[in-house]
Amino acid sequence: MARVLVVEDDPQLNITYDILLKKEHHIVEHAFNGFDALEKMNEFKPELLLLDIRMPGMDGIEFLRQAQMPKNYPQVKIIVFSNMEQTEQLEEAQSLGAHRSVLKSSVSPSQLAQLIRETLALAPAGSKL
Amino acid sequence: MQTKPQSKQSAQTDALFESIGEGAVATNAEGNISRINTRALNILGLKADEAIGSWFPGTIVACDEDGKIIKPINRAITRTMLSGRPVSERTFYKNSSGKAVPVFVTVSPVIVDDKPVGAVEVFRDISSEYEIDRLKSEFISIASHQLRTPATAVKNFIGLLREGYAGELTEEQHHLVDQAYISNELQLEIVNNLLYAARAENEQVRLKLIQGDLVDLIKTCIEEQSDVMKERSQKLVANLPDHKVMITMDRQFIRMLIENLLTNASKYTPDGGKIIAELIVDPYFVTLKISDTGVGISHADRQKLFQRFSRIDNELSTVRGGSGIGLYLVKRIADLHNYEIKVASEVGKGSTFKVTIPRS
Repeated sequence: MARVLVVEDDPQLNITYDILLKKEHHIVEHAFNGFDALEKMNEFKPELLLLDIRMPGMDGIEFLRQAQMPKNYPQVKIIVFSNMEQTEQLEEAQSLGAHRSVLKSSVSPSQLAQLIRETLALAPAGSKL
Repeated sequence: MQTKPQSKQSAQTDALFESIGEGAVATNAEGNISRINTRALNILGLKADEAIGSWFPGTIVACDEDGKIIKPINRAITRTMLSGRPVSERTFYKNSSGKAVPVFVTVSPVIVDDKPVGAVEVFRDISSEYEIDRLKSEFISIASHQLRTPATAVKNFIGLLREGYAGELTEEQHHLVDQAYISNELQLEIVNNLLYAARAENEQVRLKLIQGDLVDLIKTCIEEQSDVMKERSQKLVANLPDHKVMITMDRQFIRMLIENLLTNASKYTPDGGKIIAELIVDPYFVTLKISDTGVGISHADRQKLFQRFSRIDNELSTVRGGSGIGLYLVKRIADLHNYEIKVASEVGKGSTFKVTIPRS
């Protein structure tokens, strides 16, 4: 069980992640863009972020930049949702602290659940293996 | 009456040159401009006395879409001079205010007594075609992005049902949800193909070439198709080397190429059939072979196989559906990479698509 913040602007997609994560016994909160997510970081104190790249207002990359994730939130794991044509943004997200990425339109719910389990099991940033 | 024949001929040539509806420039063997018509001067924002006598590639500067200057050695005019053959291409010319104007150029050598004495270039301002092309690609891109999000939400809802997150389904319910899954996968495939076709069709497309492992990429693509193939009780055999095979590629495009060959093989193979993905490594070439035990393609149909929106009629094409973009995109991606693609097929027995990739 973990506290998961879903940062995604599409309401229908949010419903699907909400159902999946609750069925997988996680505690879920939603943010609809980067601004919203910045506020909820301290309020909700997530252990894992599911972060979309394309969002109106502040996008996923800008959020990572402003939040300074590895420095300010070394314990928080980040999975970035991407599309196939976003190679460059994906590289940038990785350099800004994202742990994993997943193709939004090609992952099934159980595959995503598995990826979340694996990502949560990763060692926190800066810790020695 | 005796006139000066030379100047009369010259005046006629000038008039002829001037009356060409497109920009026209003539050079001598050294590449210096000997004639230029008003249309050319207008497109480039030049004055005749600035151009006449000057070196063509220095005065008429070619660049890419972003204004990056193309070296004289890579210009159509130079290639014509060196090869003695006509060259046509789309490029951009910098006008006097520094703007990159899209042009279509054709350069031909002027040959007298078997010796090249210069070249003539005719070029057309294709700004409006270019703009239409850009708008078309942009429209397809935006439309596809907007379609993909709801299609992805449907995929997730169906996935939650199929994977038992909403409780056990009856056999009948499972069957219906599986059909919805297949339709949705097709929808996502079409959206992705449209997005990539819009990109690949752009004449100015720039490949993001990297050194990548082809074996790993094929495995990823197979993994993605495994659900649909399982649904059709198809067996997939992968004969891949147990080591990395590095090639130069645009990873996204090559991924689309492999995915499309695999979906195509699965789509046109009856339930219970077999699909083989094979990678043969030679010192100079890597060959990707995707074979199936499907319906096959007749000789006549093979002619239109790679054309856009062409659909081949067979007993599976109506059941399995398609967009007519998949194989067109495969061919276009292969062409962009200078990969060769061949197809062998026998009706009722199956097809083999072979992509030959030069090793870097």
